[in-house]
Amino acid sequence: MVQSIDNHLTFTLNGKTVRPQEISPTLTLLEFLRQQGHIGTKEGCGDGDCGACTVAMIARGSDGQPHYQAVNSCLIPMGAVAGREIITVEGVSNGSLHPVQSAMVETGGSQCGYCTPGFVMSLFAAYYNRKLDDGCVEGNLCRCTGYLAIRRAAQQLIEAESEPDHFSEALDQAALSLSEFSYRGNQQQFYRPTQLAEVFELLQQYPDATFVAGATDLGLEMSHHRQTYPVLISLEAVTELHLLEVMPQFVEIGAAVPLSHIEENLRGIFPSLDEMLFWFAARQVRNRATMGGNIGTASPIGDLPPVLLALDAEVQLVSGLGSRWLPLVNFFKGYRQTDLQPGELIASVKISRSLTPTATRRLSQSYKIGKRGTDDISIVAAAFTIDLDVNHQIVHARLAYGGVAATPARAMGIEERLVGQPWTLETVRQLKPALQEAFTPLTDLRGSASYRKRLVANLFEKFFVEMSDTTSIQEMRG
Amino acid sequence: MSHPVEKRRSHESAVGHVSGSAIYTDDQRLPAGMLSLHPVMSPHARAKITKIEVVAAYDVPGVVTVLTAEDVPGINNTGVIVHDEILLPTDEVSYWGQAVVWVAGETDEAARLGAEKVQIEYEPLPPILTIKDAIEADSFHNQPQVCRRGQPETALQEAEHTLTGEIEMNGQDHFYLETHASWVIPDGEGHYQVYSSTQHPSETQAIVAHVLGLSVNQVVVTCLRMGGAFGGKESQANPFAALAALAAHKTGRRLA
Repeated sequence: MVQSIDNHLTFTLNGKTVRPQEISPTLTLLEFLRQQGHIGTKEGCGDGDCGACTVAMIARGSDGQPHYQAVNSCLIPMGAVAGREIITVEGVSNGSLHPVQSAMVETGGSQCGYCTPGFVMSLFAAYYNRKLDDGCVEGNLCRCTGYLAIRRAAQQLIEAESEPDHFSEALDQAALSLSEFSYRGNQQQFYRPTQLAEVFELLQQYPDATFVAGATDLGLEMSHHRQTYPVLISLEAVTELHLLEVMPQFVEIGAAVPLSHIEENLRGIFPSLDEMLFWFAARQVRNRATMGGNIGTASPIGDLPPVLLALDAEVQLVSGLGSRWLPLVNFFKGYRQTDLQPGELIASVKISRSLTPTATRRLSQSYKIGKRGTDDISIVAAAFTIDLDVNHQIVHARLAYGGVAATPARAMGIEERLVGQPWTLETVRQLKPALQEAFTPLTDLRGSASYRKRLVANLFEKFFVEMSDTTSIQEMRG
Repeated sequence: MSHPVEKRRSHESAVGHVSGSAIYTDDQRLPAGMLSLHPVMSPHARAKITKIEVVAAYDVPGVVTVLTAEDVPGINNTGVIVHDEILLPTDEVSYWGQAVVWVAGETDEAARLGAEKVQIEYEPLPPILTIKDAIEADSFHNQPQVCRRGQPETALQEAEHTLTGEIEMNGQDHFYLETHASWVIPDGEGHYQVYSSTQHPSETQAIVAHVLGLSVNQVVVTCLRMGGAFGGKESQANPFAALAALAAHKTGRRLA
């Protein structure tokens, strides 16, 4: 049962409790901060691509402990801020500059300075996570410095001794779980339940409610179009959706597990998933985005569906009436249309770790082709799984793609033709012409149809070459 | 004795940058009591404007006024050097997203909702989208720029090897992280304080004055710092400053 209706959102900002009155739950944190005069946090793009709006939020990390996470405030609705602790650039120094700030001053890490608050917050989070790699600022753009001075600042921080301070102490005191929150206004309602049973109760009352978790997709509507929703149900605090089970035969991933947790906790199990998560948006987005969200939006260019399709993933769909499992391949029905029935939501995704019975070896990899490395939409994404038997014959093949059809899709005709064939360059090259015609992609601002078709075929050959050992590569070069 | 050039110095605003206290144009504006402007933009790359109907915008609570070409007391053009940039078009739009009218509201939201109510009708025309199309259509910005010395025709004829070819380069967006920003405070006595993220404050001052039909000394332009510009705010900050000033002039209100 949904316990309390508390229209008063309370949270902590730079150590002080804030209790804004009558605030829209879909107002973005960035808008709120700037309207309240906290103008250190900047708007560069308003859609999670530039990092100028980065703030640090205390949230449960992949190890189950509270951590500072760098997140894009332009994609965080105020409803998601309830009960949280947020640090902005204004809260980092306490009279004297924080080591992260001094490093940036000393190395000359700013010129116009507009991106700098965002960089400071990404470095701040990385400093306390002891993870000052290049990746910690991958979601921050700078047009002036060329990045080297910023990298030197990060380097300097790695080499310096970090000492406990009030920020590290605040982590020890931080609450581990998110509390329930609800808001009822004239035009809109927002609920953040903590149990699946509460979600079903809400759905009974409000069958047309919209779901949100990390808001890294839906957030764009709130940020750019000031979209409001009659009823918005946040799933990010629902306990049952946070399961992460790693068993010898399979892995099961709850729909609300942040991608950064999946990245850390499943590393090494599925190489194609590791690879795609590396290119998925940027760290700030992965701290919030979820697998449930990425599958549920059913975008033809979603990064994870091709990987999951190539791994024969299954989704668990639950409702007040029960649950069912569905192979992911049957989940996508059409452009942004899924098999979700009224009252249903995605609960988890299961991926088997077993090979096909006669197989002795599995080759698996994914590719994301885009103009930028991070924070880009793919032109074409591909994921391949090939199982080989002891004679190096293909016993199982999955070729899955994004960006080539109205849904993420597999080249099933080619998969069938591969089974029984020897895994050789000749086999691959013989099938390339047919593979090139397997889809009829569009021409758009990212690429032409003919380019996409060539990518579909060439990526499979690239996969073959990359999976071969070096002696075979020598032979191929002849 | 060490030379001053050898001394390491940090950026003059570095501490402000890293602590969030360095202020940019949109940070400076007053948090309340300012009107907001929202554009109504063309969905066509090139079209004749056949009808502009703004009346319905006034039904939206919080909408204060709609800026159209008729509101310009001075010159409806912000182009520098070549005066080819109409501020508020009446006849034709020449790029997708071109703002045709602007709605001023008590809040961002009122202005945005008001803009949704404005009705503009267009007759789409074939756009010229490539250099090749432009050459074919004889559509040039200006006269050919010729740089000539000696006898090039003879030299080419007499050369042992002649190479010909074509190279295409796409444009590069300036991508200043700080997007355009301006706000204006009128003093009620015909003077305008303009805050603009501009590379050229004196030109912004001149353009605002000539759009409003004022003398230049009636306009003061301030730019404390920009979050990048790279040439993109050399002349393109001017239309936004002019619109904010125009709305301030029309309503007597402070405009952001």
